[in-house]
Amino acid sequence: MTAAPKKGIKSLNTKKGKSTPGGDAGKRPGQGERKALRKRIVLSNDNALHVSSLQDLDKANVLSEKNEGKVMGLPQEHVVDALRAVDAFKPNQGWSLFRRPAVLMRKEAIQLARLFQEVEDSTGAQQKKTIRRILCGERASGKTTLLLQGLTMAFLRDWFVINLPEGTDDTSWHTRA
Amino acid sequence: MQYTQDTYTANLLQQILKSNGAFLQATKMTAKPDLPLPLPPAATLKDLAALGMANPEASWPVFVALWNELSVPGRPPVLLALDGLSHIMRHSEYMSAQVKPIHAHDLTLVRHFVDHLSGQQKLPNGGMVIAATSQSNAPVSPALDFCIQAARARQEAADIPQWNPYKNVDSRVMETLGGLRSESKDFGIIDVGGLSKEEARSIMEYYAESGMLRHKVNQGFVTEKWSLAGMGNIGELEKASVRMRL
Repeated sequence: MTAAPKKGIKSLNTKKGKSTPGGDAGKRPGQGERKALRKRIVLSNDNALHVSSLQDLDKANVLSEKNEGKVMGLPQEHVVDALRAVDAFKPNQGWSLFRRPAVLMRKEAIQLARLFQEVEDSTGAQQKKTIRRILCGERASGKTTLLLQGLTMAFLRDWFVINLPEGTDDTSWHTRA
Repeated sequence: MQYTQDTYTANLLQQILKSNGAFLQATKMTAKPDLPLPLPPAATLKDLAALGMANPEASWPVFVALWNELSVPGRPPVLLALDGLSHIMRHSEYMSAQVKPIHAHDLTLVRHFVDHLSGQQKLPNGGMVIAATSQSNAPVSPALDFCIQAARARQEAADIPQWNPYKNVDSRVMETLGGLRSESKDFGIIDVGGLSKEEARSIMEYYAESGMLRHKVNQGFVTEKWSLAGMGNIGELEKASVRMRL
């Protein structure tokens, strides 16, 4: 430690700050700006090609078993906007790689579609069905995407959808601003 | 003792309003709920949800009133969905006034979901309850893991596993998920495993058509990526074929 400089004597200041000329005068990110960037959902990529063979899901074909093994597009107006509104898309999924959102109708999705069909068939009956399922599996095996496919089916078939997007938010106070 | 989460419920009402707006707009209220704030005359469900959205202190009664309206016969089936199940199968991060942890099932919204998941309450117009587990941001919940294991064993007609007596049992979770261990068709698991090779080929053709995968998609290539992705784990497949550039 050296003594403080005497009054009137200039000392070498190696600190870089906002006040010093030539220092770091860059603009700091505003409040919430970095979080917004981190949580941003990008659903299209202009550099990806348009896939001409891509069919859209619609009300008639969403529960059909003929879709098995096909990649199907999500219709823009109703479904994508609604899915975005209920936070069904997550930031680290690969939506930003492709021109527009599309999903693979894998066999688990067809299984889910069959359950939807079962519930709809029971709506005329006296005893309406409530089917309950837990999606489980390994890491990155597509559980959240399968949930999104379930939400898509519900939106297309005009169900009423209540989605709790993250269990974390339900039980902690610091994740939600 | 039950706890409401006012801001969270208000936010949920906002999401409901955005995503189901057309139905809410077209549907008139049938009952006169007892709310702390007045509703306009001849109110639609949209007015009701908007009221809860704008006044977080009234959001829980509004949610209950909305749910009662949905339970009227003739209304559409309901889908209740939740991601990250293990977070609600343990103590929440809140503390009570006595500085004791509050179990997640004592939060009204979670209670509502869990009651429908366990089958204690039925959806009056039919519908589905789907909960997805997570493996990347998941607190340990031994009871949930055990119930899923038991359900998997039941599906495969294998021996039901025994509870490890050295683990702490969360009796409320066990009670909720008890249905997974019994023979019930309405409650079960969907085991999301790897893709088959045909499915892998289908999605890789889509990658190639989008121009994100620059390689001829033939059998050898599909098999190579399928194996690298741990027998067709779709996240790893995407990583291996689209994201990773060598």
